[in-house]
Amino acid sequence: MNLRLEQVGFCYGDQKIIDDLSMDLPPGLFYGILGPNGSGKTTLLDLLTGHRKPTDGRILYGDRELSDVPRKQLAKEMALVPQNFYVNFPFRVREVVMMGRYPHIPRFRPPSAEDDRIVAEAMSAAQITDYAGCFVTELSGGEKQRVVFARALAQNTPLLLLDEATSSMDIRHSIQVLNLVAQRVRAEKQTALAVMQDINLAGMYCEHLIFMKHGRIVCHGPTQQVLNPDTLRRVFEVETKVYDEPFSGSAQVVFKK
Amino acid sequence: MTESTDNRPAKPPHRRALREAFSIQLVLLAAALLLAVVVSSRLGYLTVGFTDVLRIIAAKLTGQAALTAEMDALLPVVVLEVRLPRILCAAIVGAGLAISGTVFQGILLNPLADPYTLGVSAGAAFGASVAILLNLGFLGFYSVPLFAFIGAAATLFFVIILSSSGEGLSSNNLILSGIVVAAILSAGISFLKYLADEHVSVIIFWLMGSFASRTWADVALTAVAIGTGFLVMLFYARDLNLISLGNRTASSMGVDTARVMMMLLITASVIAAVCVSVSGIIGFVGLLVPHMVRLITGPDNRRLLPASLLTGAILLLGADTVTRAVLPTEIPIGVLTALIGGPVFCYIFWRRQKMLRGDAS
Repeated sequence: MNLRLEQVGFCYGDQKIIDDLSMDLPPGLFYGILGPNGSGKTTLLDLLTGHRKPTDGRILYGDRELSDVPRKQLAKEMALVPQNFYVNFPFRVREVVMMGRYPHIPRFRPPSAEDDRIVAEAMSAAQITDYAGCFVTELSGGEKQRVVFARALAQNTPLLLLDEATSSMDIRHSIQVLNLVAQRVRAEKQTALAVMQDINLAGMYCEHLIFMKHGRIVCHGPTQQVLNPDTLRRVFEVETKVYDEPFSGSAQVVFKK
Repeated sequence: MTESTDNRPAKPPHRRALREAFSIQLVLLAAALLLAVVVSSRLGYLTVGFTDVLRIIAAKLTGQAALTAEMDALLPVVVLEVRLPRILCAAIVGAGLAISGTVFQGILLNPLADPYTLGVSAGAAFGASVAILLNLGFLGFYSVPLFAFIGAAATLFFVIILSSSGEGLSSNNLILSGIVVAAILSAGISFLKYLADEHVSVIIFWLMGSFASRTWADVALTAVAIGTGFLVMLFYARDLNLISLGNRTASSMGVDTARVMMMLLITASVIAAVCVSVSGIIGFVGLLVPHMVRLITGPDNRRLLPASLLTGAILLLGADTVTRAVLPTEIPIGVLTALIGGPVFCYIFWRRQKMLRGDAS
């Protein structure tokens, strides 16, 4: 479903985190959100999941205002892979992934065989089937991120929000997770919105890039159009060269020391 | 490292086995609790036969006086009017402290939390001390528990106000506010003790906790409060699981975190306040039981809560029976639970550390 932001603002105390954001996010694309630390990327995701409410403007989900969509229903529409993930209690990996099914299962009903199947598929896709019986508290950072990713997959939503979801993964697992997301976007017409730090991975996977700085959008558009030295200088204040790289089949960025 | 990428089918047998194992655990715990109630009804100054206890209870439940006809007329009175109210009270308070501790640990994301983390015990103790010191007897026997409850509720209210911000409740704020308020109240209690002169021993004994001379009215009151609270907690048990993954994740999965946290916080605190006002301050049950039970059932609150309820009931009933009937003189239950619970906690903690170290090397 179409997401539309209309002059959205968010203040934390008297500090403006998000300032006058307006854009349309049509479904079926892999969006990347790039920007320096503290540019409001995570807050933007919080606004989209309804975890925080905009202090100005409004967010439309389809033709409805986001704040009018009941939380339970929203949880069937979008899943979040958060940036920080810590659990103080020794849940097993399978239990955490099964939590992704909670929005689909009535409160007092045990999971069905269908839920079991979806959970097994999600674990297999995130390559954590081997850890299914392990305590999530005993996994490494990258393994935990894959568990959280599997949990979001199990939620089985048309919109997937990723907040630096591969930041602790090794390159093999990062690529594998991003391939999976890209494939869902291409084959199943789902939408992905990923906050990323790695500009080259963003260049490889995202069809559409949104550059943010100081809570504002610097520019957004198709990756080929907006990923250029000029944008990167304005957003990150670094000197770069951007070129088409045939091996990856995408625009790649190199940086000046 | 090899990783399977095959599409193995789900393993429902595992989950079903888990659920069956859990049902068996619950049935065993419930049976153990019933047995503990009957056995402890036997014990005391007058020892009552096992079958006699069953007959007295059956006679009361079915109304058939014939069952107790050939017995000493004193025995039914001892069991029904003296021992059972105390036994049931101890069991219910144990259950209440255990589930309250479970929920506090869950919402505060802190395994060190217990029913008294938010200063509920200090508030109750302050209220009780005021009532004892001023010799407020206008409600007869109930004025001290009532003041204790008011003190606990007022403290909770104040702590929540102090720790809420525009962001809703944060666990660090709650813990910090609880500690600060409890410290102030403790100083207040010390001052009251200083003022109390000859009443000081009454205050001290009340604070150390006791189930002596509990009545059926106490049983009914605690049962209603803790039963209702338990149902509320069970209703939110699944949301509490999600909250342990962090507020941001929980709210992206359809949980109204602010509302659920507030509901659970109030429920757990009211249960703790009722427990304190009925029995004085009994430590370690609320901290220890959730830990012990979590080792067996895992951290899923839908299993943890019922199992903690039963385990807490069995343990506090056991402790109360020891001080009432086994030890030569009755020592305050709060002291006993700390004396037993402290070392047990150390042992569990030490074993866990050893296990973790063993895994690492």
